[in-house]
Amino acid sequence: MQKNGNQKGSSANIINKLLSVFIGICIVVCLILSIIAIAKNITEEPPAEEYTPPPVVGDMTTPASITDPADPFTETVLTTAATAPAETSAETAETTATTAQTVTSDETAETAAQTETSTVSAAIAATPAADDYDKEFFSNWLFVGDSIFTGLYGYNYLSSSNVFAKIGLNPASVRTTDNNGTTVYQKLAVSKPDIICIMLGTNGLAYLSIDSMITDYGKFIDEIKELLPDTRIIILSLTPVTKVHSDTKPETLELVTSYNEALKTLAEEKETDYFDIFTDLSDDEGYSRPEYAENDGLHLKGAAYKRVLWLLEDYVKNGEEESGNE
Amino acid sequence: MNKQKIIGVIFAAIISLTACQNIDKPAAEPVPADVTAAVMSEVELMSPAEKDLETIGAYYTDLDTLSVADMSVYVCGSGAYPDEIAVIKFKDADAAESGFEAVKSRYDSMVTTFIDYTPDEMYKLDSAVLEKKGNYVIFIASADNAKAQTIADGKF
Repeated sequence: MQKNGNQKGSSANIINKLLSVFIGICIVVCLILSIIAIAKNITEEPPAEEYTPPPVVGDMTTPASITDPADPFTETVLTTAATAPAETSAETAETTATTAQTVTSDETAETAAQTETSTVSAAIAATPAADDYDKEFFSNWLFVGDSIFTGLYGYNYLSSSNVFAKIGLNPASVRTTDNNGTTVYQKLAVSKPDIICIMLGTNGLAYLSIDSMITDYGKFIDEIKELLPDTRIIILSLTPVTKVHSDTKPETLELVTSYNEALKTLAEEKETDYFDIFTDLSDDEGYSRPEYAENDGLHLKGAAYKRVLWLLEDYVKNGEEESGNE
Repeated sequence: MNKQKIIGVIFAAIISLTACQNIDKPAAEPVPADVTAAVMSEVELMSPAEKDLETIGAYYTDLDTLSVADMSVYVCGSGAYPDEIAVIKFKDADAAESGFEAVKSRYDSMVTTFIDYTPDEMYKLDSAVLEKKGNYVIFIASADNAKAQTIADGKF
């Protein structure tokens, strides 16, 4: 019996030792696994590769914070555009004035706009409903212009394939500058549009004379006619600027209106269409309406593009008399 | 005693394996739209307009859209400002590598444009966030890039 008891005791000791060894092995294995996992983690997840932009020479002045508010006028304006595209600007202005009861001038409107800070709402406002104009109608058009025309695809109103636009382009540089490796002539030759709609000149107002820009514009028109004799050319007026912009920047209201007059004459000489969008986008004084003007007072908000496309569609479909444009 | 040791072994094994599992867990893989939404809720971007795989080509000309797993990109719709945010998740590490170059190319082109066009806005590009995190590439140009980066980093 005692022998059996001793045997039992020694068996228990052996089992205990084995268990201790097993625990030790488990801990060692887990430690090894942990080290492997950490090493693997380091290999797979390198530290964020941060790029430090190179120093840039230029005016680094930080401008006052400007906000991009949700447009309080958009709904009204779009409704107006949807129901009566050829309404006179006075009628639309009346609608806007009713909606914006507290807004008494462009300057006040801009100031009021700058105090609102709903970025998410602005993003939603920038997304077009795409129900006021027929996007398909413009599928064989080519819009040629500067940064203002980049908004046509920037706000997703048209496909970028229907637009040749580049920031800073003017009537002279359009003939010599490429856009992502493609010149305007290459683009025209490939796309062979039914209608070319051009808006150029805003960028030159600051440092080019109106005469020189009109001369270059004329040459550009001649070249398009030679390349695509059956394509209809529509010269678009420049868009209005806000009062604040006109008072503080080189692109004044006077320069814009003078240039537009010269464009109209050019269109007559070259026997092309001239389409006035200035009047529709401006208030009674000729300044850009706040619901259409970007915060810089020069570029356009999404609602303006929708309005312009609607007007152009109406103009081409119904002719100049019914659309109210000359 | 034996039972206690057996329980001890099982307990130790569970604890160790759980620890190993935690170490194996990859870094957070956020949905790109969640990152841009978080940033845009606190940092203002001018006239943001969303781009998808179909429309991003006009801006990110070197980007291979087939290598993109998911993305959320907003550019300045009016073209007046350099404000932009792009959070792009690529399908694998190689794609992320070339994706980073494509996004950097977009950044370089913006610098070339805005340095003459609107020098006052260059500060947004000078301090822009441009980085690769695993298979993600992040680019933010805004009026407050430091804050934007902190918010974006918090999502990873």
